[in-house]
Amino acid sequence: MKKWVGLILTLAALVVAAAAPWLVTHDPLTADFVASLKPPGTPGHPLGTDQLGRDLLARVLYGARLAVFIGVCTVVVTAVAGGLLGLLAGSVERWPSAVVMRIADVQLSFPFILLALTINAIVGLGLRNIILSLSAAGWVVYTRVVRAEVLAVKQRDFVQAAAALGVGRLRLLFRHVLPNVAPSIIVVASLQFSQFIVAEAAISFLGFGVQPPTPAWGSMLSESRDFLYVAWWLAAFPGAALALTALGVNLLGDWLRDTLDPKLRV
Amino acid sequence: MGRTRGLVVVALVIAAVASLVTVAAAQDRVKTKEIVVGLGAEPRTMLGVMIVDWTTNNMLEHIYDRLLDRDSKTFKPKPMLATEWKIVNDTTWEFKLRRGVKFHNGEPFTAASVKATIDFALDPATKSHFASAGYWGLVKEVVVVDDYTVRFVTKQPWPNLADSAASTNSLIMPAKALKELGPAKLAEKPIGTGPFKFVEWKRDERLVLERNPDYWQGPADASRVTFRFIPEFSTRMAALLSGEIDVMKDVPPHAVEAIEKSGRATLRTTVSSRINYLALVNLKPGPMQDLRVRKAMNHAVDVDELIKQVLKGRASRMCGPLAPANVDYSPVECYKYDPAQAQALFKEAGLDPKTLSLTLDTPSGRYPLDKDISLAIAAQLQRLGIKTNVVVNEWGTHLDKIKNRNTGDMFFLGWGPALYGQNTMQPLFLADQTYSSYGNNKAIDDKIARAQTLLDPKARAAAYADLQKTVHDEAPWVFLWQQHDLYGVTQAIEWTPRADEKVWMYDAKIVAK
Repeated sequence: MKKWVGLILTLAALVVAAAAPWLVTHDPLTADFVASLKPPGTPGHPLGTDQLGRDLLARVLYGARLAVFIGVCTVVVTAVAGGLLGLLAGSVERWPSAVVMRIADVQLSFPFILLALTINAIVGLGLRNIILSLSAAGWVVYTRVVRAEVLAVKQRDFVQAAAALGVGRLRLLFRHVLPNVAPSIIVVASLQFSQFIVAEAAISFLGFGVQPPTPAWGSMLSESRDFLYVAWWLAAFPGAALALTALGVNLLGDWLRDTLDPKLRV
Repeated sequence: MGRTRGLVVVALVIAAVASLVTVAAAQDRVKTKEIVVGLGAEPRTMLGVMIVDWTTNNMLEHIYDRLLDRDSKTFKPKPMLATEWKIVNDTTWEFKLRRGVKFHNGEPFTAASVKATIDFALDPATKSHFASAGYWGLVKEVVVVDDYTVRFVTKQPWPNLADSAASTNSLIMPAKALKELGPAKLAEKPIGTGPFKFVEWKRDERLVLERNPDYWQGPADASRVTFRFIPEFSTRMAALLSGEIDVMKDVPPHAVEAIEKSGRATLRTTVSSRINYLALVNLKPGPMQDLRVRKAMNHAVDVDELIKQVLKGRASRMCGPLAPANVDYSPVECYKYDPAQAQALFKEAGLDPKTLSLTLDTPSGRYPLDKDISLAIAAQLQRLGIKTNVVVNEWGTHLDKIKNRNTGDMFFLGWGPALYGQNTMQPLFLADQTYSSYGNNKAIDDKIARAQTLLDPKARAAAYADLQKTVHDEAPWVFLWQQHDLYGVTQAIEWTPRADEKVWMYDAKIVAK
């Protein structure tokens, strides 16, 4: 159940994101003032239109594109950067480990969203900067998980054996240790993905992050507040899209954890 | 399942009880004659003559009186704390003051208080907005002739002095209390001659005032006025419909129907003297330096479409810098919506609209549908191929960006109450002014300087007509419109909105229906 719901929702989000330009005929930025605030079911506008007469379906789908793009980019950046730091901290135990882990501890003492907002306020608005700030706030989890795993895997017999046979340090790390740590990275990544999407929406909602008129779920939700009394659909559809995507990815991540967890495997 | 249903029932009961409680509270308020006004922001000071900010001064004029009031129909100055006023010579105005007026602390109102208030505004230590040359900065000295006669000696002829006195620029504070208690104490517990006395100011929440039974015009009908600060429009609207507040300003046009259908409140509207414009910033480098580009912008934005489609007709188009509500208004010809001419002008200026990228700064929620209008303007420019990034700012940030010349190529702003030419032309078209976006044009500088010193009404009208023509031709803004002010007011309150945005609860009557 969990697996299928998660898979379907996640796949749907990915497909929609990739195929948005072919799925809708309307441009998400083109305003048609005469057709503003039309309810769902209006011919040509299945989800209705917003206050400027822009097609809501097009905006929600292009919003998916943006959300998935930001989610994927951030996950890749954090997984690579955080993973490498974790490998470093786990394999070279002395001072590099201490330095990296203390920085991680300091960063963990700040709430994630607050940290991301602060970094965003410093680096400025825009798509690149929101990926940058989410990444800067989100690498810590990988580092901690990977380091712990590396410390455990290092003690395993096959690693000790490979070391005894004279395998070089880097080769040992990337050929023998990393493949055994990879499942954890994948599980963390899938759980982080939905967190990043929600965080991006929160930051855009507050007016930072992606700027209008670019359709982002967060800023669409923020704009919809003024029209709640007359146009529920402006809040309902971007909100539902955000919730369903986050739910799907979370369920998938849960299922992945159950399947890949080494403890459950043994 | 059963548990969820139980929760739903509990929630419904709570909601029902809560709505009964607020409706009951609203009925109680009718009996005790209380009014709650919902505003988008809180005051920034409790002292008069400090800050140019409608929200602050609107609340303050319940506590303090102006020197002169304005007629609610003609908007001509009429007596208030001063009963007569006249020009003595080119640089002197004389005011006769009302006798028998007392401040809330019992101190009698005399010429000394007028002098103390203006001196306070002009004292550099006060850091008052009103010390600048657009306001009381033109006054050289206030002379007390006797207890009930005061003279304003100005640095140059200042025909608009009476207009300034007939606005919240002249909220008079008590001389003795100002001297003995000092401004800091007075800011904590303000003392005026107005129809309401200060009770408490809870930051970020509410300002509470109570009726002044000894008011010189007779006591107000309302026994208590509370201003609640509710920044979000939708929250303010919910508060009005649920009976938490009785009066709200700036109902967006699309919500009119919801108010009318509610049965609790009605919509009251007026054409406001407040104008909205899109500034084309020439005080920083960029394409707006070029007159042809500014003219092209005026042909590229379809103002009539914005009024009809976005504002649902709730605005009156304006073709030059002043609107008909302004005494110094003279008509100029409108720029026509003409994309072809806009294209031609861009080309002439050596710009290709297809590769042009502009930035537009907008506040969100300060003016009716401000953000949506900015987005709509961006969409209209998109039709020519111009890419416009809309930067949505929080109100304070927006003002700071304008003051620091930090905005993009364009910004959206409103200006009002705009009742006389000087208070629009001088602050907005001279380079050294706080909120200006345009300046350093010798011809305009000279014409402003001349127009505002002419005492002869005919010569002044001619000078302002000429100035408006010049400003129109320089296209410093995309000229937009006069706002229509839309108020949501509960049925129990009799009150008519005014074009000069004076929201004064002394005028309100509470009638049980």
